Amino acid sequence: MSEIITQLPILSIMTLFLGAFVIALVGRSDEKLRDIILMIAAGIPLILMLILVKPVFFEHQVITSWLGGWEPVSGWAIGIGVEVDALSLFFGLMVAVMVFVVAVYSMTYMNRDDALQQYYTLFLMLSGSVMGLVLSGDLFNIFVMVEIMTMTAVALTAFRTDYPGALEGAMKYLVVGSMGSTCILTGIALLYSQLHTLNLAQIAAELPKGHNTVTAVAFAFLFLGFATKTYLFPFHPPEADAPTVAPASISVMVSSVLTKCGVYGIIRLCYTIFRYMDKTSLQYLICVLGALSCFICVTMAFNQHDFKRLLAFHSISQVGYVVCAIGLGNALGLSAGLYHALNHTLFKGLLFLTAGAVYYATGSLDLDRLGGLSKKMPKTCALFLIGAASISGLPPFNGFASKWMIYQAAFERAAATSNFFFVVICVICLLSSVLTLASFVKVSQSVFFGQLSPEFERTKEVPAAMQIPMWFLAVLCIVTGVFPQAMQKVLLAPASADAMNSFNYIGVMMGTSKAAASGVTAPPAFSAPIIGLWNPVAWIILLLIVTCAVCLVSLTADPEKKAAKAVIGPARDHQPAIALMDAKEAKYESFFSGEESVYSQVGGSDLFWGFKHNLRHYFKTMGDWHSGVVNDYTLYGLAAMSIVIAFTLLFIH
Amino acid sequence: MKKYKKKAVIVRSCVNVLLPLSGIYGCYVIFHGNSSPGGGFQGGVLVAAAVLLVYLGYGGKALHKTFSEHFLHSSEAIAEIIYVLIALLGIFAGTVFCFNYVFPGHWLETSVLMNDAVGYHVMAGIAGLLLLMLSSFEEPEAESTDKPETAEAAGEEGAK
Repeated sequence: MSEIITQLPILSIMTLFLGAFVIALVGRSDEKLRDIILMIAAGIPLILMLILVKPVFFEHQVITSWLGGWEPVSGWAIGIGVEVDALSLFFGLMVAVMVFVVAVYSMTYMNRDDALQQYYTLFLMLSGSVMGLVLSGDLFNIFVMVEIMTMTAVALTAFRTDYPGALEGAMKYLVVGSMGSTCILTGIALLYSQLHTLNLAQIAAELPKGHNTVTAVAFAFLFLGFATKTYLFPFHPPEADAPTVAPASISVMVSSVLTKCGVYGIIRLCYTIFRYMDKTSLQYLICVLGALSCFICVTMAFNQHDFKRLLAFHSISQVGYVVCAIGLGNALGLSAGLYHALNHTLFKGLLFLTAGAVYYATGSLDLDRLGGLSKKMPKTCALFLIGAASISGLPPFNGFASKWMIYQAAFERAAATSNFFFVVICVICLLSSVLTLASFVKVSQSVFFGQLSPEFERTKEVPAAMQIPMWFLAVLCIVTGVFPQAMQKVLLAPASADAMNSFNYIGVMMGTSKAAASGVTAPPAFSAPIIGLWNPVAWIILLLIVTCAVCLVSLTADPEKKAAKAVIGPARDHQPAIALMDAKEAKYESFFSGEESVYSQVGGSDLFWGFKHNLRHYFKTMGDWHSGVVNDYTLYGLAAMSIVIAFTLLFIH
Repeated sequence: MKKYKKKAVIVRSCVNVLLPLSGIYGCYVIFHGNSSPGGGFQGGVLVAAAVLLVYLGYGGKALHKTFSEHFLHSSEAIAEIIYVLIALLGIFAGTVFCFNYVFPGHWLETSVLMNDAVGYHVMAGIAGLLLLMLSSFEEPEAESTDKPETAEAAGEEGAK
């Protein structure tokens, strides 16, 4: 009971909260002190989570603790419990890494804003609530953390009140987010009325006996609540608005960390507590929701003109992948979902941070105005390309490995059940992946390549303090992509085994006799599923060879041609391009000079004009559908709620 | 007295009576939260009602003379820190988080102290919120002709 290791999860949550309060107290006057406190408060949870890796992932322990030492009395949980199994720690690690990275990034990125002690207070409270959500073993505590998370995220979204649309985005987020919180609260109330407990382990233990229509409705409400927090279709519009208007550091938190809380909730709910995942109807429901988010949001992203808005839509699309994989209901699918959740956190974090760097350097995020920044910000460009390659699923980056795993899981599932539905899901995912690649070609063309607008002539690379966090994420993107087998063995297999092992989850918390009496059976020994037969090393060698070849060709190119090419470049400082010519070429001037070269960047919205023209009816419908009116979004949410509750009562109960 | 608006004499007299009552009653609810209905949150709100009373009786100018937003904000943070530290004492003592470590069994045990910290926090938080909200519909300028002794005395009592 009193072993210090059992207290580490609580310490990591409380360090974040304590940091927030101390910054609120002393951060106003002393900036240096504030930054030191921020680093300590964001660093300690990361260290504590890393300490927990060994006992939880390698020795397969479950860390439990009862607050105040209030242990269960005759099989009933009377206190608040903290239960950290491999699934919780998997998400806890993700949160800790991202919080630390975002904290380091914020110190430079936010240095042009004022009232920063409020920013850091809210940021650390947001981090603490997310951490508390994934480590808690108590349903009501999860609700409290969800509330703190939503409210602080709303406040942070509107932090730059002068940014166009910031207050509006925060308002939409508040309304739809509150719908989600209300759903969770309703679910908790219904569940408590039936089972008289709030402890997750005990709910799992009571459910086989206490299962009835009310608990099925409670399941529907809880599922909807977490789906709202994941911003699944059709709850996605505020998630597209909020990261767009928030500072980039908060966009990272909202779209790559907060969505994972919802994913965690869905996994915990469907696999550990209610154990409904063997019902085909629930698999259909989750897969359809995931596939719809995946496809609709990727097409919406295709149409965007704002860098961060495009990334935000992609974020929902990628989370749709994760949810699809979770909905498959087999061990490989769950592993694939967790893997993609981790990868999405890393690469979406990286992409939002590069967007923040572009905004920091240029003051604009408009895809139609930017262009040619690769010459001015080569490092940011390289980082962006790593992120874009990861999200589009190019080998050897991490997106490829996890998407491959999702396809494999879907086909395995289809083969095992001879159900054509899972093949369709897989094809939708593949199609979305292609569209993702296309829209990232568009972003890279309209932000980093193409012509540099005269407006951004004086753009400078962002400071190193902003680059280091981005490089850190980029390295993680590559490391997690190159060693999928090791990832599977060390992180994913224990996490998915623990998610499916309700027997152990109840037994560790409430005692093995309680678990045995509950009627929950231990699952068969979990063997790590083998993932796809592809060798990342071969792909890296291929990539290196191609890179070398390209370098060779460009280095050995004819210097005269290069000179000629330079002439056709953009006019600098509004001088005619002809001034750059040397004397040798000047004699042909009267024949070849033609017109003065002008700035004619192909805007991001014009790149795939043919494709967009052919699908104009679809895009028009989708555009009308995303009306930007919060009343509409609430109605979509209500419609989805009614459908899911009816579906649960008809098919899952 | 002449410093503030003359007209609302009845309201101000009522406020003078109610202000000490609100403060004392609120503190009573906070300190007896562990053994009777109420607690930190309810009592804190009762004490914070002093802000409203000062505003009703003496107007916005007196409000800003009496209460400092910065002080309330710091108080809030201090209360939060106290709460977390009391809870963390259990871990530092080698047991678990929130463990009843400080004077167990005594009338001043851990839960009572935490309850008091909640009361302090809610008091400062709600007072700060009210201050923010009330300052948004302030009259452009308050008549000021007399010394503000009464308002300050009353206000201090409320802020306790």
